[in-house]
Amino acid sequence: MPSIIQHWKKSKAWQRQHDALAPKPGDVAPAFELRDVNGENPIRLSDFRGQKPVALIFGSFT
Amino acid sequence: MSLQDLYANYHARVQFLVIYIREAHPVDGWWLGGGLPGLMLKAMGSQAATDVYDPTTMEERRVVAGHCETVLRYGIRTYVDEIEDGVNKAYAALPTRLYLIGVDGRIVYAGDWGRLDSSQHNWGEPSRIILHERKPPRLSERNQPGPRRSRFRFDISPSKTH
Repeated sequence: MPSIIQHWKKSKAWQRQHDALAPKPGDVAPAFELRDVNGENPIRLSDFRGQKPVALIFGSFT
Repeated sequence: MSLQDLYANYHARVQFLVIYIREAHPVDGWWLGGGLPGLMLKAMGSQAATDVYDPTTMEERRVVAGHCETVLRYGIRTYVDEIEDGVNKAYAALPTRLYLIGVDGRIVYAGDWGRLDSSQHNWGEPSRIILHERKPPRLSERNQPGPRRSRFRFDISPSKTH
């Protein structure tokens, strides 16, 4: 079973890999379609283009 | 200003989307619930859970996301990233991250990784951006001389008031 240090290294490697490709100010925001916690109410980022600015708050429970 | 305050004040003007992604510190991963880190989390009053395993199916992920939505009580509907982490990867979102997107679909603000939970994000800059949001100029105003306008439909200049 991996140790906490191994998990830490893996997480940091993931961040380095993906952060380099993350959108920066001025870039077109990557499109997505997601559903809520019940698997309902599908929403697309493009639904708001030309309508409202969007605040995306990413997170988890831990 | 907290996320709840921002949402309460600006949800009519800004679409807030909370997106649940892969667990940052699950019991079966980079766990912070034990020993000194666990004690520090409790002492800091963090609302982050310390007893959650990383979901391995979409059904499990939705259950944990629903629990998270209930406990953290942001008052904002939570959407759930697919189990392949497509949105998480596209936005380099793990562990927490904040983006503001203008009405033209372009990124206006990309927040750094948060600490521990979203309540501890630095909401100062995004607050200022939202506070200075302005509508795009009318066609008749676009070629008038004057101060340089932001290329975005948010005005990030702190000197402007509306």
